[in-house]
Amino acid sequence: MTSTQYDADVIVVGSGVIGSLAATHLARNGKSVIMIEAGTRVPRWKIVDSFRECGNVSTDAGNRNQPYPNEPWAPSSFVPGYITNSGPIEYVPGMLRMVGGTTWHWGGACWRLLPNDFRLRSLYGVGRDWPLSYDDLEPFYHQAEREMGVSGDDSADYSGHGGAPFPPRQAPFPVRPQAFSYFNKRLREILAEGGYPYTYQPNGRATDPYDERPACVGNNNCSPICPIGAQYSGDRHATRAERAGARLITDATVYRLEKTPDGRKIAAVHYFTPERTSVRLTARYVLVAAHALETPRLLLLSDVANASGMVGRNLMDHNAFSLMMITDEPMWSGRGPVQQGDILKWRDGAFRREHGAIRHEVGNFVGNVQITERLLSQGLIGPALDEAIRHMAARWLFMGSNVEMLPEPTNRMTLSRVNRDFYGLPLMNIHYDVNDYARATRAVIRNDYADFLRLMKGEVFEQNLSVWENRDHPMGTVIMGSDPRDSVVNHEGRTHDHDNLFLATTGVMPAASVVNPTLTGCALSLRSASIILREV
Amino acid sequence: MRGYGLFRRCRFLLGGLATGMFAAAPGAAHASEDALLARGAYLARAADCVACHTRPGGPVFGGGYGIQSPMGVIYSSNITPSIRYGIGRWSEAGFARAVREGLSSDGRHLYPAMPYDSYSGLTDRDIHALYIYMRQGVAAVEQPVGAETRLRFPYNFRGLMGVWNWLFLDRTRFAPRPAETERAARGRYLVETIAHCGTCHTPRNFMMAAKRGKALSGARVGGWFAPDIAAGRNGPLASWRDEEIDAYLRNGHVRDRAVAAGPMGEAVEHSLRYLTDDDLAAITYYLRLIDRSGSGAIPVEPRRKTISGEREYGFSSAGSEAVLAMARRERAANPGPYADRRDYRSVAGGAALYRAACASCHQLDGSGTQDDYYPALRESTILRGGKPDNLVMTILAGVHRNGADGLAAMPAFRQDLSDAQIVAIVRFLSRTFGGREMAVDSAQVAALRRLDTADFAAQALPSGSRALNTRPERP
Repeated sequence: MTSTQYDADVIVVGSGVIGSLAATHLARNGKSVIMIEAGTRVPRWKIVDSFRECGNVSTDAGNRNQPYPNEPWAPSSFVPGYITNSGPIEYVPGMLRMVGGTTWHWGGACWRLLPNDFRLRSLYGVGRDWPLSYDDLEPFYHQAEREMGVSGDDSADYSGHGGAPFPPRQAPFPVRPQAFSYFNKRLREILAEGGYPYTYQPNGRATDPYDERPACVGNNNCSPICPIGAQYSGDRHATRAERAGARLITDATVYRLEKTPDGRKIAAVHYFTPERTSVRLTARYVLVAAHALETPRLLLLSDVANASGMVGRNLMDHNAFSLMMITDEPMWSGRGPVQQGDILKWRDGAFRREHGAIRHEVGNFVGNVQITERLLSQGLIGPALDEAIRHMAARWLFMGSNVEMLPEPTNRMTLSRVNRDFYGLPLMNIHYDVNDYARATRAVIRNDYADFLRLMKGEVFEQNLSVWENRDHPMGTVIMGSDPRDSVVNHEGRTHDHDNLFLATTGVMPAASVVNPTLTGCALSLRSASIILREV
Repeated sequence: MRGYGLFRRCRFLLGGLATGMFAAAPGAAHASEDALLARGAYLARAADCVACHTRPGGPVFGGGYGIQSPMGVIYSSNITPSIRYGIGRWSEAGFARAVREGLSSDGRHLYPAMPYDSYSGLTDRDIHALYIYMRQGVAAVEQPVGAETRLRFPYNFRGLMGVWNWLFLDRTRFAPRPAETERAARGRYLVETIAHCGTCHTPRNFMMAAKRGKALSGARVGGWFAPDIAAGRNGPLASWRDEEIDAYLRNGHVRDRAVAAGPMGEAVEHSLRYLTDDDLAAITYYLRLIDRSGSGAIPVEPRRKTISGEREYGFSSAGSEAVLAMARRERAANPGPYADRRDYRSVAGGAALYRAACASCHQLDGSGTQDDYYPALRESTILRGGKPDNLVMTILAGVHRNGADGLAAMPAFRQDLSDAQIVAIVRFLSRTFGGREMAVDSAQVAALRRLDTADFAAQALPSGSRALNTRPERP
C-alpha cells in the first residue's frame, strides 16, 4: 500500500491509548503505519516489581509515576523542571512517557459525554459548543468501548437524575457491571435515603475475562499498577497495532513537524534518538496523539497549526474539592477496585447557567496510611494505636468532587524560557487558574458534604473546600471548533492550517464536562482515523 | 487458538444428496426427526467438528481453518449444506465414506488431519444422525473456504493416502464386545471413536499412524504434550477420584490436580463440556480399565498428601516468606537490573520473576486462591513428571478456556519473558513446588516458542518484542 515516495501512509506520534487505537484501526485496514514513542517499552511484571520495591507510593506525595521508567530523554511529569507553574494554581498532572502511555496508572473510568455537553453555549449560554454532536460521536464511543472492553450499567441514567437509561447507545455495554463491594452497596442504600442516586462507574476493567485480559479480582491497586492486567491499558492496542502490521519505534522523541514550502501540509516528522541522532520520516498523513500538554508543545516547537494563536490555551481540568470522613458504621472501604461509583446529581441541568457541573466520585481506598499518620501525630502508640487504626480504617470514606471548568484562553501552556529537555528544547510552563463558573460550585459542594456527613452519621477526618486539587484530566489545549480564528482543529480533528495534520488528544475537547475524558478522546481519535482511512 | 499438530482434533468433510428420508406420519415424523437432529447435534459436539471446520471469526462449519502439520498447512473444508461450496450434493453413503474412510465424494483422498482413522468406528446409526444434522441442522455458508491445501512433495499426492489407509486404517465398526458392560462399551466408543482421544493422546509412528499397543499412552501435539491418560492400575490418573476426572473433562480444571490449556482446553470448551453426565462417567469408567501394570516403563509420580485442608490463606505463610526470601536473595546478588526501571531483559532470578509475573494470582506460596479461581501450583501435575513442555507452553500461550463452570484466563507471556527467563521460572517452580527440578534449557523453550507462534499465527510476536530474544544479554 505504501507509495515509495513515503515512509508510511500515516505516522502516529505517541503510543498511548488514543494514538494506539487509531494506529490499530488504520493498520487493520491495510494502511502502513509508523508509531513513534518517546519512551520505552517494559512489560507489566517489571512495573509490578518496581512498584513493590519503590516504597509505599501513597506516602511519597502520591507519586504514582514512581515505579515507571523515567529516562532523561522521556521524563515522567513529576520530574522537577519538566513543568513549571506561573499562575495561582499549581498544575502538574501525573503523566507517563512509555509504550501505552498514562493509562498504565489510571482508575479505568470510561465515560461518554452527555448530548447536552456538546451544546453548552446554545443551552446554557456559557463556554463553547462543539462542532459535532453526541450522535456524530456515538458510533465511535461504541467502537472504543468494544476495543477496550468497557463495563457499565445498561439500566443507569448517567445524567444523574435517576430516570431512564441515558445517554442513548446503539448496543449494551460490552462488559457487564462488576458487583458492588459491600462498601459501595451500603453507600448506595444510605445515599438513596438522602435522594442522591449512586451509579456504577463505567470502566475499562474486565468483569469477566475480555480479549487477552483476565477478570478483575479486586487487588485495589488500579493505580499505580494493576498487577494482573485486568484493567485496560494503552499498551494493549500498541501491541495490537503492531500485530496488524504497524511499526513502533520507541525511545524516539519527535521534536519537529516539517511544513511543505507552501505551508499547507506537513511534509515530514523529525525525531531524536537518545544518541542525539536526528531521523526524518515522511507520510501522507500525520496524527499527533502525544497527550494534551506534549501535543501543543510539539506544535509550538514546530510553529505549526497556530494561525489562531490558540495552541496551548484554554487548558481545563476537573479541579476538585474533597472530603474524608469516619462513618458511624463499619463500611470496609478498600475491597474491589479503587473506584466503583459516582453521585451524578449535578451532572447536568439548568444550574449550568450559573455554575459548573459537579461529580462526587467515591474512592474505594484503604485509609490506613493517612489514619496512622494522623494518630501518630496525636501521640497514640501501642495497643491503643492498633485499636484506633482498626476502628477508623473500617469506617474510612473518601470522596472527591470534580468540577466543570470552561475554556479560558488565559489558562495556557507555553514553552519554558528557562528549562530545556535532554535535547536542548524548551520544556513547559503552565499558567492556570479556576474561573468563577467553577468556583461557584463551592457552596453547592459544601451543602452536599453537610448532607453526606448527616446521612452517614460521619465525622470529618479532613475536608478540603479551599485548595483546588487537580484531577490529571487536561483538556482544551488544541481546542476544536468550526471557526479557524479561535480554534486549532475542526470537527474531524484536522488542523485548520494543515490538511494532512490531525490531532488526537483530550486537548481537542472544547468543553470539559465533569467526567474523565479518556473515552471521549478515544472516540474522537477513532473518528479521525476513519476520516484518514477514506482519504489516504 | 486452535490447530496444533497434524492430528489434534478433527472433523470431517461430509456430503449428501437431498433425499426424502422419512415416510412416516407427519406428527411422528416430526418427533422422531427432532430427536434425530438433536442426536446428530450432540454427536457433532462430541466429535468436536466445529473446532477444525470453523476458522477464527469465520462462519460456523464454513471451513478454512489452517491445521499445522509437518507436511504443511492443511485447510479444513466447508461442511455446511451449501451446494456450491459445501457438501450439499453429498449422499449419505458419500458422507459416510468421507467420515469413516477419508474419501471425498469426488474420489479424492482426505489427509488424516481429519481423524477418520478414529471415526472409522462410527456406527451406521450415528453416521445417519450426523448426516441428517449436517444437512438439516446447519446453516449453509455460501462462500469458499479461501485458502487451499498445498502440501510439500511428496505429500501433495493425495493418492499416497490410499496406501496409508491400506496399511493403517481399521475398518471395523464399533460394536459391544461379549462380556463388556454397557458402560464400558459406551466409554470405549466415546474414547476411541467419537471423541477421538487417541488423535492426540496416542503416539504416532514415522508415517503418522497410531502406534499399535500404545493407545492413549501420551504423545506430542505441536508444542504441547498430551499425556498418558490411563486411570487403571499404575496409570497416571490412578489416584484421581472418578468425580475428579469427570470434573476435569467438564470444567477443565481440578484443584490440586491439573488445568486444561492449549488443545485440551479447546476440547473442553468446544466438546467435552457438552457431554451428558452419563457419557462423562462412561469415559472415566473406560479410562479406569486401562492399566499400566505390565509396562513398568511409565514412571508414576507418587501422590503427595493433599494440602487442601491445611493451606493457609492470609497475608503470609511459611511458604510465602520462603519465596520472598529467595526473591530478595536473587535481587541482592545482582541488584542492577532490578533497580533499572527500563531493564527487564536482564532480570534472571526465578523466584523474583515468579513473584513479579505470577504470584499476584498463584500467590507467593503457590497455593492459588481458596475458590480455585486461580489454581494452586503446589500439587499440580504440570510441575511433575519430568517434561517441561506443557508448563513452558502455558507460560508462553496462557490459558483461554471456557469450561462448564466458567471462563478461565491466564495472560500469555510470550511477549514479556525471554527464553532464559522462562527457563528460570520453570526451574524455580518445579524445584520449589514440584519437589524436583525439571531439566530444561533455552534451546528447548526457543523450539517450543516457534511452535507457539506457528500455531497462533494471529497472535504472532510483534516486531518490537522479537528483540527480546535476539538482543545479546548484557555482560
